Amino acid sequence: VTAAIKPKIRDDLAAAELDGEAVVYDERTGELHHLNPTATIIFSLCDGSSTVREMSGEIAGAFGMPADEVERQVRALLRQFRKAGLLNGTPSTKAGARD
Amino acid sequence: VVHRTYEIGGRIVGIRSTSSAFGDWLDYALAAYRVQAEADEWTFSIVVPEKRDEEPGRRRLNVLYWDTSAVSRTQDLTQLARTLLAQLESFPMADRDDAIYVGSSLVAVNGSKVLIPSQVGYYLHRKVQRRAERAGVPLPGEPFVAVDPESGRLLPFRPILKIPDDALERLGSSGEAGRSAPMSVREPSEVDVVWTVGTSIERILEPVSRGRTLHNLAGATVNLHRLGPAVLESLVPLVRRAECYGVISFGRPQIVEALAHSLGLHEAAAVTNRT
Repeated sequence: VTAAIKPKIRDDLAAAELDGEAVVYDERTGELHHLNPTATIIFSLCDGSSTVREMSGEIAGAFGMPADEVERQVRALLRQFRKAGLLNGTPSTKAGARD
Repeated sequence: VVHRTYEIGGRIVGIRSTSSAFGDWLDYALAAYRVQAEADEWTFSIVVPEKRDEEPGRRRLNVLYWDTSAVSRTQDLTQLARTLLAQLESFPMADRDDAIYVGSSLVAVNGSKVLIPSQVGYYLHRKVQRRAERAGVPLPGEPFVAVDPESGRLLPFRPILKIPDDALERLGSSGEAGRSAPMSVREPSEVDVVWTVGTSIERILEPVSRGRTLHNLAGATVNLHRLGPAVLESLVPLVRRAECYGVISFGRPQIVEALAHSLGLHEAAAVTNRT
């Protein structure tokens, strides 16, 4: 994932949110994914309009955290999303992007 | 040993029994599904002890196996047959769209309703069942529940298998007088507590998030692929109203104490501690 990329969650995924946690259903693979609160925030920001850096800056500002540290976490989560096939342009796999 | 083959929900089901009388009952109860072809494998095996094998003063148990796992051990052949029919009812469930079908069981007493994974309640070891009965902790009746897609409330289960109304009566009731009546959903209901399969290695029961519970319930939904993404939103109201726990170690006696606590039966929990 590079700073110039604007991550976008696949349009065909279904998600429900409860108490700040999301459950994502991938109808293509039949897989269910449980996202913890941090992953749920990143998931909701992946709408294809922000770069990783912009996304990280937004979170860092909202939570008063160091931008570098947030960006590291965002990148790690995006790697999990990508591995689970939740992002556009990535193949679905059996691995889950879970907490 | 008698062998029978049925086609239920598009699936070939082989059933065998050591009892020719039980074979006759199968012929009557499942007549609508009998096929002549022989099953490649025996999905269910029912062992009914012969009278001559019984020791004086001690009755042996009838056992229902699903493949190699015993899913019911009971002196009451009617109870075993009820379990068998419930399992058969689950085969066409994956294609049903009239409700969300989840592999959980309802346990209810004094207005408290607890949803537990069917592995916990329905397949309780016989000794654990007895412990529950002694403590007045009710046992679940069915290994699945129907959830209303609109409201997220539990619905009375509507069976679709064509079984004669008097099929279970034909077996009569053999022993186990006083056994708790099986619980089932009789009217649209909300639940107070939801247990799903947990991961803790230290505790039998531990609080888990509602998000985790939603994930687990969706994962236990038999017709998830038939109904698709709408299942998630439909299950949200059910989970939102409930306390949520993860449970492990289904076969341990302490499960009864944990269930008593979830039902608000604190006296029963104390009794199970002493037994």
